[in-house]
Amino acid sequence: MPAFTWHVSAASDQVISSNFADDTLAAINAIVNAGDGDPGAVWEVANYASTSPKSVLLRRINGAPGRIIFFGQQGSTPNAAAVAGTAAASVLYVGYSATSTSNTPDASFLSGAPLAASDYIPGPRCFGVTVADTWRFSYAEFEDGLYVLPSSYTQNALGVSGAGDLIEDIDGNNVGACMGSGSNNSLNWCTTVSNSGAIIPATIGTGYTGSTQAGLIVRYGGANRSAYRATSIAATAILPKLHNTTTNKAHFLPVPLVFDTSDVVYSVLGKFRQVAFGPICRRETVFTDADGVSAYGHHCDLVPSQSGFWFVDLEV
Amino acid sequence: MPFVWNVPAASDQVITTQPDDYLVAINAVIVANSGGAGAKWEVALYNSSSPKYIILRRKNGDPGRIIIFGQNGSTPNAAATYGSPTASILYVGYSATSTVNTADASYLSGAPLAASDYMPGMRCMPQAAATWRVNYAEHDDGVVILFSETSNGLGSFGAGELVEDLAAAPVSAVWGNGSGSGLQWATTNNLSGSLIPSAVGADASYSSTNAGLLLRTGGVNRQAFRAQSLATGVAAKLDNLSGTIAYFLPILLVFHNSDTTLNIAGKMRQIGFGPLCDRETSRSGGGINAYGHQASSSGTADPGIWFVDDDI
Repeated sequence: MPAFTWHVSAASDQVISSNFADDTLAAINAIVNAGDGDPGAVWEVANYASTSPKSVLLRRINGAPGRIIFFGQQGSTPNAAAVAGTAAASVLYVGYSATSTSNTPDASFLSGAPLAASDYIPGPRCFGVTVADTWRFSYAEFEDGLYVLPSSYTQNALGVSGAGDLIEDIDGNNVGACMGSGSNNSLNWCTTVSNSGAIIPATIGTGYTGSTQAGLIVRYGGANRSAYRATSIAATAILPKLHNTTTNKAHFLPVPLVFDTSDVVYSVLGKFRQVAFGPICRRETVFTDADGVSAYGHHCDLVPSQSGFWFVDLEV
Repeated sequence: MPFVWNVPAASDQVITTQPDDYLVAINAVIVANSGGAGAKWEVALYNSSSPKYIILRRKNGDPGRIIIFGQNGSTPNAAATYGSPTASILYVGYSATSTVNTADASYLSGAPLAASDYMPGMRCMPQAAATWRVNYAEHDDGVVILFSETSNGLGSFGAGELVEDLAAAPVSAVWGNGSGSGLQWATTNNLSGSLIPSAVGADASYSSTNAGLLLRTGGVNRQAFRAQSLATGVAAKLDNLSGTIAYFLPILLVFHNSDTTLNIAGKMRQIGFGPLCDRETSRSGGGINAYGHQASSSGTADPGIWFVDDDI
């Protein structure tokens, strides 16, 4: 599969009050609206519903089918059909349909699924943005999907949530997915140097069950399934080895996945598409190597010390 | 282009005197199998008197020699081994260019292969007197030897172009599992063992008791480290329970050197993380074969070391 080029938006500081879900939706709407005129922009806001039921619906600028929906509302609990696992009040979720062409949510997330398409993927909880503060928002997008990245140095926190065909299976076929970093207020991907955190869970479970978990839901074989990270960075000391400071080469390691099914047929799902383990970085790290390959790293530490969440303009 | 592993039949060998009996066992198993169809390597010389060693060569006559050496009560010369030499230990060394069929110098006084690209020996055997199941996996460019015993674990060591770099170019390597008597590769289900160590250290920190993977790149010997570990419980997912499909994950490597030029060496060539397995497990699916090895003869508690007839 040919490599694609990420479009990474400019960062924007957004004030989040105690109405976390509502304000985070407003922030997502603001940053995507601000970025959709950029060269390389792929997604735009089709609908921002700022009154109940609240949501931001994203569509491709080129008019192709597929919708990403961020939804949630302070004080309200979504319907179980709208979310993966148990729904919780005042929480932001992400959902995805690869085929929907609707420019408004087909049904209230308070009474059904926000996108009625038969291939709707109910998403996990998006972020742990649960502290009133000024949060830095940016997003990374490509033709088939989009990730939103809120971060705060003062909170030492980074969330990652996205939807689209973010995954490829072992045969290189695109796989629809929704992912969210769950309720923790810190970047689970990097809270431990061994990357054993749970922004993408590495501990096999019986499926995504709770609104507080980080999670990755994939649609495979016509069913929605929980997916898990198959590997972790082996040791802290590996991280500095992922950057050759002499030749300015960075090295990125794939994030292979397995998924859990209820029919006890197990398979390797594949891996993230051009999202990788990578060198130590701060947020909004732009890296261009000696061969002109660009990558974009994100992490929450003001003083970087751990592996970032990397978007790479190259197959990994 | 993927190669096909040759995995000959295993043989039970009694080990009493270490490491002399290991040499006897290795010689016996390779001699017994090197005449078979698909065999790639053969014994060029088994020197059963001091200094004891086995030299393996390619059957097709190409350059390259693997030397397995060690002797009870004797300590090799420092030039022969990577890290401090230890008495009564088995080591494996490699030269990609040597064409000699005898050791050029005794490992007791120098390097056992005098070629300029000689890769010094890594410690390579567990330490227990027992009846060990011995077999090996080989391809045109290298050999991995496997000793397994249900109580004492699995020893794996080898030499040859066992690694490939980021451009898929073969890289010379010697690989030994150190002094542990258990299967370090799989003593825990998340493969945190150290058959290929993941704790990056200075080259100088390597001791003869460590497991280790040594690569030769840019004319220099460099220690390599495993970059990723298998997450807990994942090995059980690397199997389609219908029993027809297994999945394998590459073993990615970074290497360490002293000139602060850091890089990724690449990955093990067609050696991967794989499903839970018994020792001498053979799997076929979609026309692709794979061979799994671990210590247990009856259990499936640990993922194995897998040799796969396809790129991974």
